[in-house]
Amino acid sequence: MAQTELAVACFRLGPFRLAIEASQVVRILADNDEDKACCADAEQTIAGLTVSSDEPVRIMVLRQGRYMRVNQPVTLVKLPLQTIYPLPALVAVRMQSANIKAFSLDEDCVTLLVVIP
Amino acid sequence: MSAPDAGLTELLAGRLNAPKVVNVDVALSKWVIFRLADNWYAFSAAHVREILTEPRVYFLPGCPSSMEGVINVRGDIESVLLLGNILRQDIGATPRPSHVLLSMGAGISSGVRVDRVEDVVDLPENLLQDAPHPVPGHLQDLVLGVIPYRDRLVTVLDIDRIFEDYRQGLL
Repeated sequence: MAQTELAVACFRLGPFRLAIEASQVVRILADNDEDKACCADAEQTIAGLTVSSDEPVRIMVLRQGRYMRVNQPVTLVKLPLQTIYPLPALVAVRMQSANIKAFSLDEDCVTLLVVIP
Repeated sequence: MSAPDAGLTELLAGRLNAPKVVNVDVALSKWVIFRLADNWYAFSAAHVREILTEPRVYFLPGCPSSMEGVINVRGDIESVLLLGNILRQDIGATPRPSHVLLSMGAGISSGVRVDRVEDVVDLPENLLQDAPHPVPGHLQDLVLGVIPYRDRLVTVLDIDRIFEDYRQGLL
């Protein structure tokens, strides 16, 4: 049966909603002192967007051995494939981050899809 | 005393002997004429697929300020460029822009935000002429010339060049 959905972990960076393939996420840690110590090199910025210190923060442990600091809420959702679009040509070449490859447009909600190589 | 009026016979004879009006085929080009604030511009209509009125634009973070966002046109996603921003034209005092020209240039498809489309008009190709006054440096490569429209000159922009320069990060 053809795939119709993509499982992603959604999170926020400040006011913006982003997502990464759920298969890339190993763990989601609290942002306590113990976790901060082991994740000191966590990504602070994605696509020019920085995690907001005014919002609750979680640390996302990725399969590639990398970490991302993200704002809550972190949720696991299945995006219908027909709501996922590649970036238009001019957006793709001018987007600040090469890690943003696509976005989802669902019920007027834009979610940037992050791909960590 | 004035000469007597000509009779109908003389009038008809004079008309038959009048020089004939000869139709000459002149190549016409179609232009989309629009405004950005008080400035008038045109694109060749061959590059404009559709004129959209107030489409819903979705902001995408991480893009240059000249990228307004993306639109969903019957399932196709298109970027929207802010032409006023690209031309470095102050449009702060004007009403909210109202039209998006869905355009194709340099093999790239994108929407272009303008203030208002004024007309879509056929004009003789040979009306396109060089700009009568120096074009600012940052516009030189983007301007093809001017065309007369009503009682003004309209600046014709090169959409191929705009999209290609934008793709290369030059704009």
